[in-house]
Amino acid sequence: MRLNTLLKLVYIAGVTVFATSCTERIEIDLDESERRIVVDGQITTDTMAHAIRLTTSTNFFYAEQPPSVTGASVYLDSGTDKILLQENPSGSGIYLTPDNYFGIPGNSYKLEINLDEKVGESDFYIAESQMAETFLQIDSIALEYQDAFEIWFVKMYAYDPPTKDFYKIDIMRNDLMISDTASRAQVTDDRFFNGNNTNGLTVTILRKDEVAVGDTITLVLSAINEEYYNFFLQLQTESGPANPLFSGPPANVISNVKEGGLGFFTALSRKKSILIVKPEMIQP
Amino acid sequence: MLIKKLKQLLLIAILMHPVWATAIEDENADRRYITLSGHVRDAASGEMLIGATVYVEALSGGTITNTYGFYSLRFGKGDYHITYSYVGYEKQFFNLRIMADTVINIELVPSEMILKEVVVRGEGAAEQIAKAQMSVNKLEIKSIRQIPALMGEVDLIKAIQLLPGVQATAEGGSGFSVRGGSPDQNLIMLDEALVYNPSHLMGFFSVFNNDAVKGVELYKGDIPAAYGGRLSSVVDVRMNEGNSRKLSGQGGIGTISSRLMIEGPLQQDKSSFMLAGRRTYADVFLALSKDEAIRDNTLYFYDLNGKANYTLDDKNRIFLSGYVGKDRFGGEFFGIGWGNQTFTARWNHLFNSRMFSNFSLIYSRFNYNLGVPSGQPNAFDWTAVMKDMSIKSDFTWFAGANHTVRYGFIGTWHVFMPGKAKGVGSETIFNTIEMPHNQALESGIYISNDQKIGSRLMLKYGVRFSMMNNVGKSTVFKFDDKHEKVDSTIYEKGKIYNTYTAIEPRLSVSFSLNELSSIKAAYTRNVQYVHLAQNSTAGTPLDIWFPSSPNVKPQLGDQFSLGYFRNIPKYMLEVSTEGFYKLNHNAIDFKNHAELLLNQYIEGEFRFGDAHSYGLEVLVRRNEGRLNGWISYTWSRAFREIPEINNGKKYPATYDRPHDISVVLNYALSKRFSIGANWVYATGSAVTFPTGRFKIGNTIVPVYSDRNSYRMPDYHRLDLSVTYHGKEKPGRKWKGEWNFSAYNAYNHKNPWVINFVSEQDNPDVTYAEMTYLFGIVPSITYNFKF
Repeated sequence: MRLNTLLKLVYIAGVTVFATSCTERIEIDLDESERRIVVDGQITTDTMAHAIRLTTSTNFFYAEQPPSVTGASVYLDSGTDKILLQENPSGSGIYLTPDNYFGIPGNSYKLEINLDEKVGESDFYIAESQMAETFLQIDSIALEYQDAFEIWFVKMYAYDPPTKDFYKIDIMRNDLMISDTASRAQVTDDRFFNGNNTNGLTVTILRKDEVAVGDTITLVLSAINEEYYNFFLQLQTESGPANPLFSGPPANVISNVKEGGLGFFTALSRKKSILIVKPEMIQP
Repeated sequence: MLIKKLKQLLLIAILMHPVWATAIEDENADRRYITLSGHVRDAASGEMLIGATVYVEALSGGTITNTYGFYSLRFGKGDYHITYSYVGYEKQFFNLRIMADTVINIELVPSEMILKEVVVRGEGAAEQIAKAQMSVNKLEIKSIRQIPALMGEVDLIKAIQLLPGVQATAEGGSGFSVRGGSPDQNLIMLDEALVYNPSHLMGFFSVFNNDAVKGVELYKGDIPAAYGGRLSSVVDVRMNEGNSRKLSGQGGIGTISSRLMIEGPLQQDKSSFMLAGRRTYADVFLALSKDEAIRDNTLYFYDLNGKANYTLDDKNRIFLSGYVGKDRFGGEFFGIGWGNQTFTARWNHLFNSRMFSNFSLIYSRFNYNLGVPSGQPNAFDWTAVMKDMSIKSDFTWFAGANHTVRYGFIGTWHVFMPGKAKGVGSETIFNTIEMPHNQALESGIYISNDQKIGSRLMLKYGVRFSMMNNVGKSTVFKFDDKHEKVDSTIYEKGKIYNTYTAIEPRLSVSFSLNELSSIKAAYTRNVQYVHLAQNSTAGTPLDIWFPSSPNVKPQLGDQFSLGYFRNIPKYMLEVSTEGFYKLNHNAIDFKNHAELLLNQYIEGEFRFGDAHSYGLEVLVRRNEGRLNGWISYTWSRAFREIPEINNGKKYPATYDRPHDISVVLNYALSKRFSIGANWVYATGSAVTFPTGRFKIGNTIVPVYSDRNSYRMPDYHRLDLSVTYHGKEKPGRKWKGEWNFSAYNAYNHKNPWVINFVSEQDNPDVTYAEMTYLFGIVPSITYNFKF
């Protein structure tokens, strides 16, 4: 159960019914901000070139892609071996593992970043993340159309193990990652359904126009650790809209990059479940 | 367990019976003094008048009636000119030779002539100048009704928000901050019963139905010793008693709700009842919607108030009052509901003309539930309940010409059930999660004396001794330095496992410069044992209250106030200026990204520190005449300093709004037309804005400024109303009036929230976007009386 989602629904309905709530673009002057290193990367159980992206933070109204941090020496230590990541393409700020790299559940991964020159206070940053070991057993997924809201519920049939688990849910349409922003992806803990069958629990939603006959819908389920779960919840809250009824005071998203870095380096274990949209599914 | 506790409390209350009071009466050797006492009533309805003035010319002073319309005065035998007066009523005076104890019950006639410029009332106002009590504002329901209201729903809380030193926490909200305090530091009472959440419909309306309410007193500082348990204010709302003369009623048909109140005698002049109800009908319109998603929703709130009183004899009177209110909002996929229920039983007993007492039994409950209906895998039901049972006794001993002693006791048994969530229906996948219950016994015993020294100096001094016991069954968690749970202890049922006590001195003094002006000063200490876990600014119905515990110390508040008070009888003006300084120890805040709902380790989310506020308030008020109302200006600051928040740096509280102006005016154009206007202006509230940003995938993430280091744009708004009274015909009982109002008359866009969002086409371009709730909101209400 996503409590926040529920509260948002209550709030939206309450406000739209009772107030003639409107929005308007306004001008606000904001102070300059200190430049800091930003780490964005993950190691998964998929066999592929895993990417770590290094950028810096900017002033809030900086209306471009963030500046890349290039020429860094980035090491990935899995506990058993330590490899140097390759910046590719050169000057992109994107550092890759070899194509045949994959993460192993239970392993702890450590990222060491040596910079050419200081960003912020330091030229050396470290981040560490342990890959979750336990996982839901997915049976299948299904789609259910909600006429009232013109959305599709993506329902998951799976069994949750009795351990304390955290999950991230992404959704793909054919080869396109739909949940490419924090607001479309979901994270959940298993507090409310620990050790149960999920019975077709709605885990994410798709818009009406995001489902067509012949599409391959892929649910990407990641077992994540608690630290990343908290990070992602904070990311969703702080990058999304706030309102005085349900929002607490704004606060910075907590990073696992030591020495004052921003962003997050995480290791997660992945499973997928695929559904091909057939004509009878589209019929109301 | 509960019964046992209540028995103990009852015993204490009874032990305080002043058996000795009668003895004092008899032993009183000084026969030169006599007592004048009685009740002051409204001649039309028979209702008691609270705060009516009894003025004795030769003494250049007098007294005011208490909450039950009772007064008692002691002075030497002789000839006196005595005046009884009350705002909006014709005054009465007598020339009397008083040689023995005398009872005078007075009935004042409401002054019908709204246009009549009553010249020089004086006495009531003079009493306000002389008495030591300061930092108090009184609002009659009559004047609250004249204030233009959102959607025409006359609202007591919104009226309070227009007083100096009071800030609304958010546009349209029922939460308010008094002198920089948190919204949970207000003791809101309806006929002595605590109202935990005074809001309907996300706070846009309050729970007080104006037909059922007589008036309200707001103490912002100098809180009398009789009250305790909250740091910032006391909001004492009194319900109508009911007309003991004839069956009558009033009501209204408004834009969002309809109301009806019926009152009448149960026994002529002896007992009466009042029943009032209000319900919204937005859901009727929802059903007409073409949109299925809207049509299937339920949405309403209602209030029911009831009161009955019975006069047993001259010395005994019994009152019963109750309130039930509920909000319900739901649809196919979710539902939410909440409500308050209160019940008060009171017994007024006059031991003799100098010893007044009241005994109360009080019950108060607040609950809410939230859920997804069964038949779905995510179906669940979540409920939370808070309830209080109190026993209370209050005594007033009119000890002598210069002393009035008050003392009493209150014991409250609190039960907190902060949340139970469970799956419902056969398809649900949810387990049951229940937060541990909490029980606490909060008690207070107080004594105070109002003393007059010479003709200029009045003192009010007292002390309250308060105590809170945490009582099992309960699970108490132990947290380490990092607020992580390390251990837990389970206490068995009935076990007192933690106790806090406090001594709360209350002191105020007034010095009359002359009959028209005075200087007053006060120091009070208050202690708060129950707190609200809520970190949003406007607040929601999903309130979790929790008691102090081994992990949470009571909040402690010290307040100093100094004021200058002056009446200008020529213009019927009352002017007051007050300065205050307030210090709050063990102030509660919450860690960043706190999880306050359904979190059994909630105490680990708390952070403690200090808060302080100071300010200056100016109020110019005119209660009578064709043009009446008030103008207030407040300059104040409110800060918090919590070691683990904002890197330990001091930061402005969200409700730190340095400049605040309210203008509330009502003008009677003619006998049948009156217009009302209010204008409010306040510095924008303190907010946190992003100064930097970074990117995670395609998501732009803000990096924030120091907490509350920016300001929202200043807030201002004008509301207008016109009331047209129907023609009065002799013999016709029905009186109708039309009220047309416009909230936010010049359609100013006041930001409710400012978000930073990305452009649709170019997500790297971010901009500030404000959301405002109300443009101009017109409404029509028809009110009637019969």
